[in-house]
Amino acid sequence: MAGLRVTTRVILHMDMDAFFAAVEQRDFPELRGQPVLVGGGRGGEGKRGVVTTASYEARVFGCKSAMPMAQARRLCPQAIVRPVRMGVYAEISDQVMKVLEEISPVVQPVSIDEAFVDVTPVLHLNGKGDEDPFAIGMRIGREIKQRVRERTQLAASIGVAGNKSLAKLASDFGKPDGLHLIRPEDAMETLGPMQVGALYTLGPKAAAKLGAFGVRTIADLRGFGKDALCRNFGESGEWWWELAHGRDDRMVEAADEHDRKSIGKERTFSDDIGDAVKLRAILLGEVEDVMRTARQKGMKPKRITVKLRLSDFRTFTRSLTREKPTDVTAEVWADALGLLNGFLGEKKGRLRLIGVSVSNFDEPEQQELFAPPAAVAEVRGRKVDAAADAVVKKFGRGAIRRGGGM
Amino acid sequence: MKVICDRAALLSAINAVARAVPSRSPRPQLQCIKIAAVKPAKGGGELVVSGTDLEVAIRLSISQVEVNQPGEVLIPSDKLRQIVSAESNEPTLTLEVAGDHVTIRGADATFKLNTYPVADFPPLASYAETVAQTSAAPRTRTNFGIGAGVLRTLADRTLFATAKEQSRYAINGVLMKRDGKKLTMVATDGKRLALCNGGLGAGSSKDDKAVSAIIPTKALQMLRDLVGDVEEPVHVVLTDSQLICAFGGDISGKEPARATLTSNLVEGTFPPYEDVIPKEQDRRVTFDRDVLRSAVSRASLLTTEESRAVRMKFSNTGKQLHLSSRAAEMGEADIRCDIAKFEGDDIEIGFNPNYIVDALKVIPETEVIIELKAANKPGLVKAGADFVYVVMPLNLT
Repeated sequence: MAGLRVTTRVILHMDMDAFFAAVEQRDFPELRGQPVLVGGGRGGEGKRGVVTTASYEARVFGCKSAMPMAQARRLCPQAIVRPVRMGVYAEISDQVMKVLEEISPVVQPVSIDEAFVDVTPVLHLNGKGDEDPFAIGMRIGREIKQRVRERTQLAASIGVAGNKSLAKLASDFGKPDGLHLIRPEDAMETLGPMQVGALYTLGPKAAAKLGAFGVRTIADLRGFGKDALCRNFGESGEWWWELAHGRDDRMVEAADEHDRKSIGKERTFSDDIGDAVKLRAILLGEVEDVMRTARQKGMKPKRITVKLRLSDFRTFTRSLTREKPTDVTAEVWADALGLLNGFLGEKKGRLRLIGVSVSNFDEPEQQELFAPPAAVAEVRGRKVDAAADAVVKKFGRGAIRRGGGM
Repeated sequence: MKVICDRAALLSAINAVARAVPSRSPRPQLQCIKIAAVKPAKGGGELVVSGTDLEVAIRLSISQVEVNQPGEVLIPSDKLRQIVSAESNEPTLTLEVAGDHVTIRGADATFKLNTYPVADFPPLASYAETVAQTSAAPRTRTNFGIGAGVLRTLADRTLFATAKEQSRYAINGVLMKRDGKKLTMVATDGKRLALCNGGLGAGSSKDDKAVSAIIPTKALQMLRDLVGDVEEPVHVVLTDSQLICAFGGDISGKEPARATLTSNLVEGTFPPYEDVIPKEQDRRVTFDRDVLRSAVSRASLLTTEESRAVRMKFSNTGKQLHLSSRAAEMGEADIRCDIAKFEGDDIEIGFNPNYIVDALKVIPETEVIIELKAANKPGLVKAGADFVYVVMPLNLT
């Protein structure tokens, strides 16, 4: 790819240690040093449902997240079961993500307690030009851990590497309270003895199929050969082949500034609605409300998004970007109606929610003095992402899990 | 240790030093102020007050003191400050250390405060000690003398352009560059950039090569506030990792400095600022500073937090600047302002009015020049020979 500047990327993966359980132990000192299970069924006293998080003390007994609560309690009868306090965790998560955003603009939250940070654009702010970029990455990692501890009294594990997959593995290595670096030149050796299930998107079904070929470790997988992998697993095989060699060009994708600014309205019905005429009437009301707000704010949107949820909770969005921004209700309504009609033409079923939002406002934009750092290997990253998505199609959603669960 | 000290002098020293004391720290010793009483052989006395957060340290010397018994003590900063401030009727206070506490006595009040062992406090070298240690060693990169007033001007005319948000991916510091007999400071938040030059004074080393370092914004603010008498000489040393500035005193250390600030430098590389200062502007518009400031301030009244944009139409034929702004749900503003001199063609461009006013506030000259090239190219604000300000426009659609 001519014209692409190849630079060393430094990616950090941050993962809070036993997040929910650690928060419980922080807030209730009597739980410290005790096996704690967070989870349980809805409204139950934690006797039903599954374990959301097990404290490190409980993990000694074999308790794990996603395990049925009853089973975990058999393994560790003395464990203290705490209900999930999602509001509290979400607030702490915001504090932690804010720390990351202070470090670099390129932050991709993966879940409530986990995020990738591309620190490549800020290396020059944290070290001298001739310094080893990974040494700077480690220093940034240390800084993040310290700030997270200062503000939340909680421990985060951080992995530092040249791409997302290796950074994720590195954060697992150091746990708990870890800070671990996998250098590109060490990737092959580090990956070799690991189980194939450690590779991102390689789920238990695929691992079992590989096991039948006698492929258990990542070194085995390399020996299996690229052709054999592609023959059996298609694009996913090609993707795992790349990962097995420590290659992963996926970008850390920060939330787009523009996407965050939107005006929207949605409504959940008390009874699901299948009647197109009724749905159109409700959507029109929403469009009118949204556009009234937009006009009051003096904002002209270019992007219109319609959100639809079927009675089985499957949720879809349909959107389009207009050529010119508008604050005229009729114009936005024509677009929204087109999106709704298109959806009704392709999906059958009753709706339990319909909503509309407008974004991408036409605003004067402040220009920057210094050009942003060059994007790296984006094209290849997208191709790999597409391959990862293909896994979902092939094995279903259940086959997908994050790598590293060894 | 036992001293009788002028209360006002002590309070102003504590207030200055307390700015370096962290409000929260896992080490309570760092939330203390160290007071050392020195009694030189030739008589008189000196009280040295210091504090640090391990990033910045400030050390002040007070001579309005009678030292009965030399010694040193580490006192929690907040309480010390509250007590010395509250004893407002006392011209002097007596500080006496016994065991692990200090007694602060006025005419009708006695406070007994617990202290920390002085050994727990990080050692802070004086300027003279530092220079003595480093001037021969390669660690010193450059040292120079500068008038306190010049230092304050450089700080004032750059600090405002630093990023307001802590951290983010901005440089949290101001570039300091010594080149021959000139000192330059540069600050930027990525959208505008301020540069100011000043001349060096006596006591400067003869360096052929330019030396630069990034000073933390917070440290430069404190340094600025240590300036009292603008004629006072300041001795500055830049090492590989630190900046040390001594106010007053002499470079040999025979005369102790009135105030010393030591700061760690910001690690990292300053953005390539010279590349973004435009050199080929073809429109040059001269304003009376106050006329322009008033016009831009009034136009900014009808902008909002979300959208700070003022449209500026520079017209050569009418020698007028026409400013307009619009705030949603509020209204519009339309301001006209006279141009003193105009070279070049008409141009229309959008700016954040705050960025313009910020610069006009620190310009002492009454004549200000705005240089432009195109609506999507940076604007340049100039005043006098030493100040340059680059500001990026807003894309108007």
